[in-house]
Amino acid sequence: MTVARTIPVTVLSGFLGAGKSTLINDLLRDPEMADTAIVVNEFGDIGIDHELIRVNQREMMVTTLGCICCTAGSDIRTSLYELHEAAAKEPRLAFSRVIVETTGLADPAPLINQLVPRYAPAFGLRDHVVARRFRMAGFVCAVDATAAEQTLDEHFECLKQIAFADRIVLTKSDLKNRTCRDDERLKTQLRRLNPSADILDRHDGGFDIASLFQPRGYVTAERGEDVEGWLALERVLAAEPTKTGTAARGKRHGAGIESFAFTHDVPIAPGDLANFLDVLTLAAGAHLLRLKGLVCVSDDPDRPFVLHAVQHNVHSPRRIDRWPSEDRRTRLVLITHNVDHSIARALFSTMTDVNKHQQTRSKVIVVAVCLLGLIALGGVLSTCGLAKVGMAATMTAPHVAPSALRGTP
Amino acid sequence: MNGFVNPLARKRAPGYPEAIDRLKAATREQLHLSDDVVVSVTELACREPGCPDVETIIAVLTAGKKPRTVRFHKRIIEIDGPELAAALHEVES
Repeated sequence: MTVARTIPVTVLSGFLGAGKSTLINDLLRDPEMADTAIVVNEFGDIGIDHELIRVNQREMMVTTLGCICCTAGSDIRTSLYELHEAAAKEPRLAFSRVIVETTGLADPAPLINQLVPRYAPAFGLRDHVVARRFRMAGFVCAVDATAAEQTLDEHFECLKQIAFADRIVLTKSDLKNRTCRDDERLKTQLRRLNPSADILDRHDGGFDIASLFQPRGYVTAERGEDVEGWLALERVLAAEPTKTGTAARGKRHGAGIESFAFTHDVPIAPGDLANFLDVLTLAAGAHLLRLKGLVCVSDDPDRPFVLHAVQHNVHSPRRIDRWPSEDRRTRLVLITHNVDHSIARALFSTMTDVNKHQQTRSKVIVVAVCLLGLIALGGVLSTCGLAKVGMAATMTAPHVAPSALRGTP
Repeated sequence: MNGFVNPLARKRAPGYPEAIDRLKAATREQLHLSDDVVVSVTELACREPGCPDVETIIAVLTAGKKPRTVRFHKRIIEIDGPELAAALHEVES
């Protein structure tokens, strides 16, 4: 009898904007990693991360929408089973390792309970196949060196992700204004949260991306008391009936954190896009947890821009040679904390559409957004019953601030 | 290396790491827990209709015993000493 070899599954976590997709892209450039299957989990209803990860002929990728921890981890077993079935039917798609990229807001506890045998009950053929064919083989947490300290103070998910990791990789440590003292202070803080994890720096000379994802044993007991406690508590909560009598499953993040998306069919002028990003990041500030997108720009519609922003920081837009799929619409996904969607949408319309009749009204809204911020403006408009004014406003935006987009090729 | 420290800079408010340490230490002290008992502090969205958005759960996990939990409808960093003491007192009694 032939004993089937188990396939290692490595979890890649890290808060919003920590650089998880960039790490995967770096990994997939290595020809030895070609037989890697990627599971990308996205927060929200419109996925875009899967478009931002390059997948070659021998790589396979599945995408799940809705935060993986909020679906109590059931999606991960389904995704692994689908990968297994696809490879069984089509030998060309055989793979030898899996990387699961979680959302930046994921709580690792439900996910790990699903991946470690005997932590969560197996139901049916799917779960038994997954338990027999896959094994947990590491947990990598990407940490944005420029934002980690503030994020740790404000977002519990970030702390949990770091605590579960057996390898922590610092990203963006090459950005300006970082000092050795900053890095050492951050590493001290990380070691306090997770004394046993290896801490690597993405920008160190000897950094080897393949070894970061090298399969190894992942033993939850080695991750410390907090991790064992969270996993045990998660199992208790999962079994606990609610007042409504339904299984204790639900969303995991406060109502203030939401994802929403813009799509736009008409190419956008570079200056208008720059203005939108400037005003949005200025007004929303730390409430804009993440922005990512593909943008069709009027000066060269065949070569879209890839946009990334984390809180105040808009990373330099990158122009790619072609659209990653047949969908050539502009798509922006925002993950925010306590931001009124209608105001953000009105701002987008205001800054990107051309309708000269609305100019005066729209200028007032743009200036108000700059001065008051999205949150405050949302409150004012709601109080005054003027939200519809904001939503209706369309114009070519005035150039109100310098932007990362200007001067890009 | 930049050695400048701005004496006028706003002091950083305690964040999650400090708050979790504080809640765990206070729980251990009040309940006289031994080292083999695990105290777990977590924050979730509340799943009950009509409840506030966020719920903090502090669980005392003892091998072979039913977990004891106290719940607060607020974030970890918002829980103060007196309200934790009151909640733990109810668990004790």
